[in-house]
Amino acid sequence: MNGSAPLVRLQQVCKRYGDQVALVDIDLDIFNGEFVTILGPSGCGKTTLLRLIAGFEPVSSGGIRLNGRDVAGLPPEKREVNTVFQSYALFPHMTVFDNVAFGLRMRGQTPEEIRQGVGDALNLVQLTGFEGRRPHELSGGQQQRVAVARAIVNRPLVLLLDEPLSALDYRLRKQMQLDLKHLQRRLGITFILVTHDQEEAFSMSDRVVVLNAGRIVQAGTPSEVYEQPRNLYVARFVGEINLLDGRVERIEDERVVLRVDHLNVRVKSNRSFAEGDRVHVLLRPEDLRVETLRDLADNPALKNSFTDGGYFLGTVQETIYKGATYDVAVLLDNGRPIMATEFFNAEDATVYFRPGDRVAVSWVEGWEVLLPYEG
Amino acid sequence: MKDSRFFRRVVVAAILTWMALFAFGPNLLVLLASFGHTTGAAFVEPGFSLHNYLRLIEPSYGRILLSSLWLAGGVTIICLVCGYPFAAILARTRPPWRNWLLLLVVIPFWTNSLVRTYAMIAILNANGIVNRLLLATGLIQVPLPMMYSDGAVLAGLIYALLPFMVLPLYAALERLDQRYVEAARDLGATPAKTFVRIIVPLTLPGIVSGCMLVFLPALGMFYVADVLGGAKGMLLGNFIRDQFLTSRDWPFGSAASVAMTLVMGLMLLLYWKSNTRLSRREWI
Repeated sequence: MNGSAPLVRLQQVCKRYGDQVALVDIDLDIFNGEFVTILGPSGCGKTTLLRLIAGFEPVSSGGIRLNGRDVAGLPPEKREVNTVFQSYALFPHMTVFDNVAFGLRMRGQTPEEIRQGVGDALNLVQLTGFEGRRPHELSGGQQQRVAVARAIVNRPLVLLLDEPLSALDYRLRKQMQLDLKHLQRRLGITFILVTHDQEEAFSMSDRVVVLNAGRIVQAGTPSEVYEQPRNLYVARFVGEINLLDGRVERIEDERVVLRVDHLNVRVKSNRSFAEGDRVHVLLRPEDLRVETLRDLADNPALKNSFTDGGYFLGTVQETIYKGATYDVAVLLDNGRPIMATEFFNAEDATVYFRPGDRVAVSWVEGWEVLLPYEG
Repeated sequence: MKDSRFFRRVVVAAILTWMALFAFGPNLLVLLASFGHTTGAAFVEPGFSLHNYLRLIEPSYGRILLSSLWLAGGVTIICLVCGYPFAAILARTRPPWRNWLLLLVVIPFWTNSLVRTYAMIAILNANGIVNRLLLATGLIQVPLPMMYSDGAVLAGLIYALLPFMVLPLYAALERLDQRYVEAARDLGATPAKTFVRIIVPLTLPGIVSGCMLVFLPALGMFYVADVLGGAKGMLLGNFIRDQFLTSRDWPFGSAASVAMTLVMGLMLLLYWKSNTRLSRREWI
């Protein structure tokens, strides 16, 4: 995939509205057949990025190339790009058939080609038989699928999706995520999706581009972004994190020995640190180990299985039932709150921890992420 | 609880009485009169004949009806053609400027329209602003006779009625979601095709109500024709007034009046249909 020339190439793209800066120095290559998600909070410029690619707004500086061609000054109708709008923007005065046929009619296709094309597109989104309906007679999910059909019927080089699922309820959203992903695989069309929902980004895309305040913070596969966040912002945005502060004590080969409060812990890192550097230790709730001091006293083997650096002591504050898992909120003796996710025991579907339990907290060595101190 | 229900009944009864006495009653009288005939002794002798309606389509009277419809139609089309771009610009302008432009549209309403019609004389007559300007620039040597012509009536009606076209169009265009326009462009429609296929259909209720608000008064604003058109009764409104006040043929005037109401009713029906066809959750 990476050997060929990029289908969409953004070079040094900036967008300003008066004094307001929406996008700064965006460099991004998107390859044919990729499913790329632009992930970021509202107001980070992600929708603006789509609008620049679609041609609704001009770039302030920088260039956009589509299939090798500079599209500066090219109006939206001349770009081989189609958009699925956030609230679908289905034409209310047209039937489903006419909505889907619109693009084909604008390209001057024959009635026979149009009937064929619309039929195929509606079949792909499982809406055969809805041709005569009006948009307002459809459910939200159906409207969403018409919007997708209306876009893909034109066989664009790139399909832009602007938070297409945000108006749907949870179950439908999950279903549509899968459907869209399958559709993309089947058609081989490049998808660029914009969302603020990290779960959606991870479950659908080949590559996630995290945007913050108009800049790309990190781009990579979902697992790269989740497991090796480049900074605290990304780490926080893509999931729950626990944060411990430490100082580099010394470097041992590939390991870094950290002083975190009273403990010396050995962690792996592919970043280079110097002795004395302040660092953040990032831990996902599911990477934490929590055992009660009671069990540790009863079972010396369990105690020895903890990392040689030892463990933190704390008190369980509360437990939060999540269905398949439960969260344990622990207040460490050093004053830091920590959230750990525990799975239910196979034989015992009861919450093991009780508020007030004294616990030892540690983590599986190597699962932590080390970041330079950001203050 | 009981008091408020009583109060509500009193209010509803008062409104119904008012409507019955001053709207339904008079219209019913006009309808009845239109089937009657006039004698020397009474303005209206009750009866039932379609005689008055048949007279309406006699060539001599039918011509007035047709020319009035023709003139009103012309006024409507010119107002639509001038008003649509203006309303579109208005809807696109950013709020502080937009409010000033809207104010400019509304300001003429602060002056009585009869007074404004007289003001047109100062612009159009032989010694008026237009002629003096043209003479001064040397474009003409002799003043143009603009007053007391069809053109003057047309200009007067357009001047008086343009805001009634602009305001509903503005409301429709302002309400038009730009995403539909963007979606059309995205799907390959040129600006011209987007206008014809998306913008016009979606602003149709505004177009229809604007046309109604212009067309119907343009049939009846007799004082404009009186002031700018001289003594010639050119509008349906002049004709109806003349039947009542000059010819004293009340049944015939009533028939013309009913005919005009029917035209209005027909247009209202058209408006209602275009509105329900387009009404939907997303953009009402």
